[in-house]
Amino acid sequence: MSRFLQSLSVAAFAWRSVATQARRPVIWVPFLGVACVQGLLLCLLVWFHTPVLRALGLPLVKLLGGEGALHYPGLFYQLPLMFFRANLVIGTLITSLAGGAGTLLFARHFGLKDPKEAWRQTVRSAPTLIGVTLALMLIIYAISRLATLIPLELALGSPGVRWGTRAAMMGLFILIQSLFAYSTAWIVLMGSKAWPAIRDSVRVTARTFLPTLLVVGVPAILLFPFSYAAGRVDFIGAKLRPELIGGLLSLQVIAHILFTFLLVGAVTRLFLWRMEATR
Amino acid sequence: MKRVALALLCSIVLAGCTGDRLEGERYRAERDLWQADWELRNLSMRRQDVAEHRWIDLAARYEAIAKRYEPTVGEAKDGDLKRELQTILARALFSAAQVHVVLRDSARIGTLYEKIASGYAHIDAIASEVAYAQAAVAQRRGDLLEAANHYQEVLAHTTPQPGEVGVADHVLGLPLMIARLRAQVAGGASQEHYEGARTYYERMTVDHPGELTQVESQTHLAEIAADMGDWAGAIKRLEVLEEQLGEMDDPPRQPCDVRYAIAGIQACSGSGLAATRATLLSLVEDYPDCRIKPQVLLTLADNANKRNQVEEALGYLDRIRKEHGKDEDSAAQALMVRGRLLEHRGRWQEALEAFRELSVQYPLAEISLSAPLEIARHYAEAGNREAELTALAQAEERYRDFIRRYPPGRQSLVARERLVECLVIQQKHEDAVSEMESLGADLIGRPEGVAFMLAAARMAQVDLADTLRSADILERTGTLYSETEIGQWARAEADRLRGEIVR
Repeated sequence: MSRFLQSLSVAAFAWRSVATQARRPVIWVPFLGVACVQGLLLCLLVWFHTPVLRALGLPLVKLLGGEGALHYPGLFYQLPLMFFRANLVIGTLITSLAGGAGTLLFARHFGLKDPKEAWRQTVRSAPTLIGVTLALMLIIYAISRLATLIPLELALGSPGVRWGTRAAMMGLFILIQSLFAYSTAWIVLMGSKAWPAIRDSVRVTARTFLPTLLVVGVPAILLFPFSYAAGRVDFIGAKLRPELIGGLLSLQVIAHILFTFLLVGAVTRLFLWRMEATR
Repeated sequence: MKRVALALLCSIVLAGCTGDRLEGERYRAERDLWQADWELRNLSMRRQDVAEHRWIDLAARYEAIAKRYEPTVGEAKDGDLKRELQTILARALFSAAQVHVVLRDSARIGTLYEKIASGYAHIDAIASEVAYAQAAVAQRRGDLLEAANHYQEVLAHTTPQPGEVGVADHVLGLPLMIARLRAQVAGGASQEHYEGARTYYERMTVDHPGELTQVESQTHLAEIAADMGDWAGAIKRLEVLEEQLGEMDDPPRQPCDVRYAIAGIQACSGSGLAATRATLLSLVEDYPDCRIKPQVLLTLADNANKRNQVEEALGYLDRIRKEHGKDEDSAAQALMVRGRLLEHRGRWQEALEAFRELSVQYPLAEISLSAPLEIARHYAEAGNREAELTALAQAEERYRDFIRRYPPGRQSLVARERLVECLVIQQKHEDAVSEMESLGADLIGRPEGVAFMLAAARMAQVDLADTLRSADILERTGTLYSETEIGQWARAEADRLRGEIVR
């Protein structure tokens, strides 16, 4: 119990450090950049039928959701899935870079590097950052496929099985993300290559296990209601309005910026704390 | 970098010019239709509270959808997309016609159906929906032959799919319906009318083994036999069906329902009360968990009563309350039948006990609301005016108390209807007119609503001798139902009455 409380106080220290930096607009820039891209993507998908967006939107909707998504309200029923698929690409190409830039900016304000160097350093590390994120995405995708091993009839017949599966999946995601959590910091702050970054990230996570789990797990759990609601599109579409699904995803984008800001900041703070302790 | 951005922008604009505009248009048409359907669902849920202008707006909205996207259909090349757009437009017009059904604007309904039939008859689903609706209109009008012809059209365009949404669910019943309508026009059933239907159902029985289609077809074949007076043939067919259902793991219809239908045919055919009783008893014994068991026990009670076996009948009724007490409607129904049976047999004290128990034990069951009036009716028939008036006063008090105590809903509407009955019998015409007016306004859009308004107007004129009030009620009926023939008649009648007052 005391070990948990100690870990909690370490995580709280990391979150407090992030909170003190929240008023610095410059740190928000990479995260807002990701949000803008996600917002534009959402607009493109939802308003694909308008003359201005049709040229890009229509083929994109067809590619991500198939012919059924070109119909109303089919588009909104498919929207979470289409957004998820597009986000895999955005996550790999853009969020990974934004995470790198965010880590550098946080590190500078926690007293480590010159912020002017942040963008240049991120661009230099881009291939490595993208490679590591791609590996993480593939692992997460493989884990998500595990859920399909549970017979559908069993899942449909028992709420216990459904919630148990969700909890197990969430636990696995948090664990994997925790193991990869420090790889960005190793790449952009220490100049590591992909494999050493992952290996050293696992080592740091092992030494700071519970605080890392808390720092990664709390935002993931706070984001869960959004992903759960996005999974109930049939209910929202039938009982309320299909357009609400678009609104829900917009809220998810906003929540995502806040929690990613919190996650990147807290992980950077823990990383620097651990490095200082090692020295 | 700037050149790349410029090239990208140019390619987007170029692609935008050549992109498939019609797919975007189809999406917008689907969205507009869906949103209008959503409004229709919302209005239909609280029909009595919806003002007429909202229905008119909705019909106009549907018609506007059809008008807005008509040019788009013209632009589309022949193919799936054009067909989809046509279906959307036809559906919009069809829904507009459905809204006009609520408004009882038969002229507009006819115009819209003709428009759909002329423009979209090549789309099977639409053609069926329209023909089915036209048949219903013709049937209501009393034009049975035209109705039969429209049903025949539906049959030609649609494959039967019992249990599905829409016309496909009703198709299987149509051959029999057509035969019955034609027989009705001819003034009697003959082989000639039913031949087509029989061939159709025999084909369906062979083509769909083990499916609901087969079961329904066999039931219809039994009905045809019954219509032709071939009772033995009808029973034989149902016995075969019951046996088949009993052999299925997951039968589409319960075998006990079929046994109950056999008992029904026995009762109609004059096979004798004993034979019907034996079938019903075997049903209760063979299918103890049958969901229609309370209904079967009620039929057994009726059967026993007809055989003058009063105690046996009462036994069945008590069994319903004992075994199905949780099913409040069935239990209340059993108690009401018990009261009526005892009253009929001259055991009034016991009957009175049953009627009183109804209100106490099952206050929310619809049938319980009739109990106080049953008591008053008994005293009226017995010529006991004093007791009748006391019973009526108690009934009025009970209905008013019920209306005060329970929120507006189906039961409180029934209570208000009973209150009107009670007031009319007591000759409290002033209160009855007010209550009928209020009920008429609350039931707007329903046939009962207009009936209450007209009854109020008549009572105001005849019993209260208040012609002005009668004219006012008719005027209000005319405003509430302005799009309907009855509404127009009410307005004209109001003008006529006012004219009489002036003269």
